[in-house]
Amino acid sequence: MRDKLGKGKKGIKALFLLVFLFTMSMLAECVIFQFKAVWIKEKSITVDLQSEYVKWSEADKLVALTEEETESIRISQDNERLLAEYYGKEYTPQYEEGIVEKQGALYRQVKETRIRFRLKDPYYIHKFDLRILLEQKGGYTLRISNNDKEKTLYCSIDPRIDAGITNVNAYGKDFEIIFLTGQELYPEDMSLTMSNSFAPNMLRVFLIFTLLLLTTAAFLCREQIAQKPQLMFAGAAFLLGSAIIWGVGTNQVGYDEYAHAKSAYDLSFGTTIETTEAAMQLKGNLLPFFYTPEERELIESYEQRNNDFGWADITTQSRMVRAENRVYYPNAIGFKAARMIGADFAASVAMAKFGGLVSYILVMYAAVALAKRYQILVAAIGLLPNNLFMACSLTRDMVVTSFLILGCVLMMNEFLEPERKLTWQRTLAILLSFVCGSVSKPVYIVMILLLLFLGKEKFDNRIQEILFKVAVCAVVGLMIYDIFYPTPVATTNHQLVGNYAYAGDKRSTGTNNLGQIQYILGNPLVYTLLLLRSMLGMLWESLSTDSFINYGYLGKAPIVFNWIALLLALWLSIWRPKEDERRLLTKLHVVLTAVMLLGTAAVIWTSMYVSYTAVGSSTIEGVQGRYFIPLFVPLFVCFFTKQRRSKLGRRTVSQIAFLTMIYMNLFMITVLILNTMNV
Amino acid sequence: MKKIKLKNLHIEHIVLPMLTLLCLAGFIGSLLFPKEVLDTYRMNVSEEEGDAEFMVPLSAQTPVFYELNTTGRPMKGIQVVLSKEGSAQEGVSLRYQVYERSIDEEGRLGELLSDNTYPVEDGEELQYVYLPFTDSERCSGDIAIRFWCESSQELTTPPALGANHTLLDNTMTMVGDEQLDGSLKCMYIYTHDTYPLLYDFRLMTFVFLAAAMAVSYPKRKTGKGGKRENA
Repeated sequence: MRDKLGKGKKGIKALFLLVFLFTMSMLAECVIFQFKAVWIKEKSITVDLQSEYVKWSEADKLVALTEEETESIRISQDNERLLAEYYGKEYTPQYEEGIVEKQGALYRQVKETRIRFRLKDPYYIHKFDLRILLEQKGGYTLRISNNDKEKTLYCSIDPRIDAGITNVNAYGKDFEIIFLTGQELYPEDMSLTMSNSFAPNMLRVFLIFTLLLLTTAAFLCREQIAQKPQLMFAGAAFLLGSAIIWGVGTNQVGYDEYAHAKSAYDLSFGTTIETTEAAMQLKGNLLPFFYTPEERELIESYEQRNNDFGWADITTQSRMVRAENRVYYPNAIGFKAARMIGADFAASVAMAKFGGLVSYILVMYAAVALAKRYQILVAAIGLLPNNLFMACSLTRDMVVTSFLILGCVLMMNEFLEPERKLTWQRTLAILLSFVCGSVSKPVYIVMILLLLFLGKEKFDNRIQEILFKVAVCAVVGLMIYDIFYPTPVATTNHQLVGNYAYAGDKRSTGTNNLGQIQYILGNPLVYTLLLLRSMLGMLWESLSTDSFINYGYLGKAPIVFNWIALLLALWLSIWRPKEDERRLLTKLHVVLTAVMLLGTAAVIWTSMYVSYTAVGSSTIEGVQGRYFIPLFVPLFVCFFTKQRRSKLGRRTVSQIAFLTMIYMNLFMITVLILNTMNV
Repeated sequence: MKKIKLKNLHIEHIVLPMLTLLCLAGFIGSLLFPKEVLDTYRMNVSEEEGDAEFMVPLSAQTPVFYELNTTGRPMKGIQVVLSKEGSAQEGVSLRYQVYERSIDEEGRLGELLSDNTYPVEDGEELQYVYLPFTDSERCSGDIAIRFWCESSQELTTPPALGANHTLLDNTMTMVGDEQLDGSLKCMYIYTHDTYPLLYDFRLMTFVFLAAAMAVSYPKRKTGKGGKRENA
């Protein structure tokens, strides 16, 4: 009875605390961030663009395409050329209307329209809201001046929402708007409103609330966090992940998110796929991008209008899901659940991302819980911004990374306790974790070759040991074999798809798996030098200039974050909390683990050279830092040989580690998500 | 006599080896019994810039021939654009026969490989229709497909096949004796084998084998006071 009363009181206290923290967050938003709207009260202005005081001028111009746009056209042409070659047709490169080639570079023909006007009195502008009927993508540069103070801003306009809304946050009197469009503009097709209204930003409120809540939890629940760090990991990952999903919306900023979105979306159906127009744009990386909450509202409304299943495109697929596509189930379940409850398009995308986040948290929860005395290290890796961002995207990486980390934890546990007999449950858990993690990226399976070095003490007898190791080799061999000779699945163009001479990543030009393998075998020394140079180059760049920590295409963290994360991981590996018992990896196992890490890294680089790089290239393309995250657990476990006893207790160590990772994420969410597209 | 006491047996002693064997059986079964699926090749389905689709009318007197090479594989069928040209086409049948491609100087058709009929009235006004070949295993190598229409009544508005001006290697479209300046719009349909669950079974065989090897099996005892032996 007393227990129940105690629990009830604790519950009420927790509820009060939550209400208090939320109130504080709202207050901070209203007082600090809405200060200008409250202090400088201005009514919104609508500018009459047809007035004689507004000056218009026009000129023709050529604008160079960005490297990204040019590369996209080249890749598309390369793929068309390959198909034409396969079908025996002659190929002539063609450009879309308005694109011209000049001295080897590609340009777009545009019209430059300048609009100038002046207000009677200076006006404080928060939002500059321009609505215009456009046929093609365009944009405008806004120059505002007031008393010699000038501000220049750029805003893009998507014809699907016919609006470009930007934040000014300055006084303005003289205005110049410069448009670069593919069409002539008329004043009657345009409207302009400037405003400075009070509008609390709920995402910012949520971020402040998360900051206060997690900091409070780190201080009030120190004992619980020290004992069960997996709980704090799960809570922090869920709150931070929710903020990322909320903030990013339907903007496609994850690594190749459109390709993964297609797989996940298709998987959420049975044999008949219904692709709405909005889903088609999602699959084609064509969804409009928002930079302000106002644009977001317009875009989500546009997406919902185009999410009518009544006129969806109908296609079919095989009932048997390709093995490598099963990793999309977490996202697919989200899409399916969203359709079942009739959620709108933006909510469907968010639910699909939540599916990924929840699966990531569950698997990493197990990894943190099962780690032997290095739980906080695993939790810190789990909260690494790169991992959290991947878990909140439409991607397979959250499955790959989380299962491989779980597998590594279980495998390293075996080496940390060499006398403990292997059990079938742990064996199944290790192998299934690695198989799930490697099913879509089979190169990672080579990591389990480390199991070949388990001592004889782990087994009942010699025969069982030999058979176990043979089975492990067979699992590795079969998964690697499947890279070169994939199991045939129902597909169109089977001879082309299954033809190794044509195999290669079609996101990059000049690729050919067979040709590249022949090149490597013909030039082993040249390739070995290239491999070593590339590996060392990337390592040096990650430590010196190019920050490893990032949020996909949204951007990178300051380089200092690299060092903070690295030093934190080293500190957690080398200094153990004073009450923890010492656990060492034998020197032999450290050497073997290092060999496995180097070998796996070399295999990852080589796989990208074979599949993603043009034949015979002197650089290796497409390798990204995130590919090495699954190797972090064994890498830092190697430092256990030097383990020393820290003066700090488990509670303080976990507090420092969690708060460091949480603040790092909050900083990145604020800078890269909130400030760039949600204010 | 070597004995294992039943009470020393646990579920994992039986289940894991059984699962290993089951997966092995599944692996062999998947290899032995592949599933045949259709394999579509979109040979000529879109027009290049400046080109437009046009219709080739079908009649009993002037058949349309389409010659192709199957690159050594038996062809299961072909998908062509069939238009009813605004008429109900009641009682009209599309006949299509597959021949070995003629090689003699007189231009005679080779051996008849497949003879088929498609009721035109069943289809939509304009659509890609799948025309499967009977005895498809014979339809391999250099072949010619002959299309024409049959009707019990006189055809006022005959159905038509869609074509464009794209010229494909190793193919030729003839209307009667004249070569068409272009090709029929079509997709080639072949088949290929898939192995459902092969990947899973062969992988899980070894996963379960490894797990089965991590089990402590009960020791077998020899008869009277004999030595214990490992299982």
